[in-house]
Amino acid sequence: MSMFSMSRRDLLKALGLTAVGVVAAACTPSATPTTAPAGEEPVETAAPAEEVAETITIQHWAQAAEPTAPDVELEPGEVRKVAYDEVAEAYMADHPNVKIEWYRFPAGSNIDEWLTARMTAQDAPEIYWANSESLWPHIQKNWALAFDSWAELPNPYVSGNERWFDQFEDVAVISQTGPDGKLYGINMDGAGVLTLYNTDAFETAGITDLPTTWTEFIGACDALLDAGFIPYGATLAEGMTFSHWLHAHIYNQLVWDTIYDWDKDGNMVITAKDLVLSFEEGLFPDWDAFLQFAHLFKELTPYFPLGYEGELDLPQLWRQGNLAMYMEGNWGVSQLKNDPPPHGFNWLAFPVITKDIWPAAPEKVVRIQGAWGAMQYHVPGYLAQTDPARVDVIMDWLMWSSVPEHVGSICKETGLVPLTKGAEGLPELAPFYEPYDRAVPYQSWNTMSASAWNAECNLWQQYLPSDMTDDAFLELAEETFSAEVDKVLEANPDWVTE
Amino acid sequence: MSTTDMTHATSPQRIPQPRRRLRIPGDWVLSAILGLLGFLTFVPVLMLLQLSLKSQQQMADSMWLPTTPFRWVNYVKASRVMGPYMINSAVFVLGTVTVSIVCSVFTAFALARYPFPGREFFFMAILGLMMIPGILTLIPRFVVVVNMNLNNTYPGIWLPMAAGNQAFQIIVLRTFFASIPEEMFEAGRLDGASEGRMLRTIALPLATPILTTLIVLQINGVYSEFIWPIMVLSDPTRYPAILGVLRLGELITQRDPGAQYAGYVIAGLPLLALFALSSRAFIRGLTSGAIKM
Amino acid sequence: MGAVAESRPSTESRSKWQELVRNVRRYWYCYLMMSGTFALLLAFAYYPAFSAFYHSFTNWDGFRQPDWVGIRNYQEVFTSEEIFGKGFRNMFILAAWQIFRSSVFPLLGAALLYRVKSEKTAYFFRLLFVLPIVIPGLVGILVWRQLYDPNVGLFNEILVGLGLTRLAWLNSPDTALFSLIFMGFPWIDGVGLLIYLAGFLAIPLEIIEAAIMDGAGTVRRFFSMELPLIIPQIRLIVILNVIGSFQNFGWQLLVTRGGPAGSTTVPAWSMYKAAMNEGRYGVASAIGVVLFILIFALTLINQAAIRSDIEYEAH
Repeated sequence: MSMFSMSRRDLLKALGLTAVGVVAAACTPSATPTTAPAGEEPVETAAPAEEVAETITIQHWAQAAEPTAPDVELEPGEVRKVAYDEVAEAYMADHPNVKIEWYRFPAGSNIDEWLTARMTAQDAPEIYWANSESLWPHIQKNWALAFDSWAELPNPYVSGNERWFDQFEDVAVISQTGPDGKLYGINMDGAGVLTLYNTDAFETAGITDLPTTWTEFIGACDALLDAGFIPYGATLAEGMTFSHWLHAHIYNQLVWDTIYDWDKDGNMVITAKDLVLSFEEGLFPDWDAFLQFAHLFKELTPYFPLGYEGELDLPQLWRQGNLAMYMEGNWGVSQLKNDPPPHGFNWLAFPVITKDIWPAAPEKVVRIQGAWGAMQYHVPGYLAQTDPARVDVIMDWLMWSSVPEHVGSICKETGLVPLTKGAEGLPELAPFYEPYDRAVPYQSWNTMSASAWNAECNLWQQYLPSDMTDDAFLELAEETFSAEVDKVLEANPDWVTE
Repeated sequence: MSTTDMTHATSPQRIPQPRRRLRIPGDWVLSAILGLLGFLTFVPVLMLLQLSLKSQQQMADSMWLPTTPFRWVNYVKASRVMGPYMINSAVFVLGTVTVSIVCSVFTAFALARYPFPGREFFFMAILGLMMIPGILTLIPRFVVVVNMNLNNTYPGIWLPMAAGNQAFQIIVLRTFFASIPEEMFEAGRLDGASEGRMLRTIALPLATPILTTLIVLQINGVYSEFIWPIMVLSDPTRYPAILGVLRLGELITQRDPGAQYAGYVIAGLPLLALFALSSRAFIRGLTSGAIKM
Repeated sequence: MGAVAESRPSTESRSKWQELVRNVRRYWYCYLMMSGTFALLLAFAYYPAFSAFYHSFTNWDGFRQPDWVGIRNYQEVFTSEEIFGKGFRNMFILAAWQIFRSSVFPLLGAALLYRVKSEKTAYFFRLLFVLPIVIPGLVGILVWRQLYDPNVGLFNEILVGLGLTRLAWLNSPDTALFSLIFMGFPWIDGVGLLIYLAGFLAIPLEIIEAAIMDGAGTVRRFFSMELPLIIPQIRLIVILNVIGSFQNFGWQLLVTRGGPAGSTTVPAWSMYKAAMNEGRYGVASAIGVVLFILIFALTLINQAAIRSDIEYEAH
């Protein structure tokens, strides 16, 4: 018996049906709602909105700012997070017809996938979190509502405030600005990245003065290596932030003077569109600087752990005392407080590249510090058409949330750096308040697209362990980057015709 | 093919021993080899169990050997988190399996026993489905579900997952139904029984072992599926248990891989119970020899 | 094998068309029986598949109305070093291995198990191999990943203990693919084992006895008698694994993310990334279509290649 005794007639029938099916599939529209041009908001009512008697439920995905769920069992020494709950309860007491609910994001799932599903079904939580770096694709798809008309209003809950968005630091406002100059979200706190180091290890290695320049840093790594530690944590697997952060720290120092040439629309934010246009003009990337970055990167590789080309669990290695330092964000502070490692620790700024290494180096301190906190909130774009009255309530709730005392109480719990003027964070974050010369406006190819980020990780995985020549490396890098630009243009053909 | 051939397939057999040759104690060697292989196959389960009783610091100290004190609190934590989701999983499983088995039994029976026009074509169409990579159809399938207003509903989980399971079940059941000798049905037809009645009274009882096997395998599959529920369900309280396990890795402010492993063990317990209850039938179904092509 | 023969229309006094109609009328209830399945499949399988096929010629991002781009996505698939060069190579290696591994090792295990004389011992071993089915495959993969960890994994601890240098296992382009392949040792899958065992147990005693009387040793019995008789089981397992292995990206998703340096990437993983990570459903669909055609072709070849002429009427 053969399963495949299909006669020619059957095959023709199958092909015919397939063709019909494809045509049918092509003719039916996808389930997306008609996309309104981005930036159309309804005329807003005076805030706070007086509502009808029915209860409005607002689902809020607060990300790291969310209070601990009632069903969670705490570790010894762990503190239940309640700050945002208290803020919400105070609000609900004043507005009995509004119910604030915490939406718990399904852990382990991919946020882009989740967002696509939610926006297609139009059942997303009323307030959702998204990192400012993914802002432009979301704006394209009308997933984020423009805040401008509310941003201009005074915040009734903050005395003396005449314009709501005046409350926030520049970095926070810039981060939410779309390519068209409008504001597509609110950003109340931020994050920074420093190098977390093991003070006991430094002592054992005999390092008395903390390294500030690149040469001193390499010297410290040598001392650590001799003392039997793994000096510097690195992992190059796709999706790991290490190469992203290293790129930001090093490359920004190398292109200090020319970096804002890439800011084509002049909004002090380097967006994907800026990068694409700069590439077309041959301005970005500065390949000489990129090559120098590659060399410096390679200089660090002897100090990386075994297997750095793949995925490694750096926090675990560091906690075991084998790894002396790795780059960590300030969001790790609350964990360090609640579950201290068995050794001393402190934060170190990224080394400064001196003129003997790169003549054009500015010898200034760069910091990755910006609007990548938990309290970056957006509102689904479709609500502007489907439920404008609800949007007013949402904005009112956000205004209440952004009162400096409230932001401060939340940041003290989360360990994030407030970007709301007048709000205070944790004293342990003092290193993050130290002065720096510039917060990097551009980090890595990730700024352009997720695909470009993957491609960059791949590039480093190929280059670093090999003995590729400079020419071979540049050729590969240019080829890779150019292909990525093509992909972005394919999805946004209107960018270059403007 | 006679009825006696059917019965011998259900009772396990042993090879008769050669009488005229000197035998080495073959069982010892066999047992040693099988024991080693079996142990190696079983090691991940042992690892899972001992890891589920560690704290993060214990894992940092000694990953591979059991450490005392055993952290039973991992299980307490995990079960608190997963409890409400277990019921959701049960509902998903019941619905999906029911729809899937009912549809595939009917279809397989029709394909096996009746020479209707287009039979081969339909079967090929079903087989062809298995070759379409699942990821490819994920988003379009979601769009269909939204268009039918089934998002965030139970049927939105049951129906698409049942659809995905049809192909394998139909292939196996078709082979099985085709192997039932015609004589059994002849008798029924002579008595004037309808086709449906014959399916119910003759074919189904014979198919019980293989159906048990298919049901157990499907329960296993549905239970561990998490990509589809995340897309369809916008209400996190409806999530299945497997998502609860994933949440354990992220839920609490500090990472607790031990509790997550405990979560996997807890997630496996219903399957284990199911398996224990049905193992005879499950194994009999697999060993009935009907699973082949 | 029962009533499987298709009735051929007689060409004598009736036209084929009338015969066809007659048969449709006669077996009307068959169509009814299949309606449940096909309703499900039409809505949730065929339509999405056609939709995906259509979208492979567009630049769909999963959300907005797409633009037609012709064969550009396919061009990208076939010129991309990652998808086509490294991806296809790795895919064929991994798939060949998976097909080999799932058909051979459980078979050997079943052959060994079949020869165990004591009922109780046999039952115990059966349970031992079958119980791990209950644990999600995901867990086994995570445990193996821990074993392979370059800095704290068990394998490197053993190597260091023996005085050898540590390997980077999954984290180095040179050893990653091999490490992936070795995962899951001894590769005896419980379900496969039982399926093969069933095939063995169905061989009638008389044949075995005859062979033993003729003086055939264990090994010779295996190769010339048992093996040919379980070809139907082998065929099923091979087909399922041909279909499955080309679509698999679980390892890439959970363990290597296709790296390092593309040493473990497969087209199915590129498809997943393009769809879920990068929002490029057009390209993802194109990869999916190519994979589908490949799997389909291979299944056809597979069916033609494995013939069972000696297929005894055993089930």
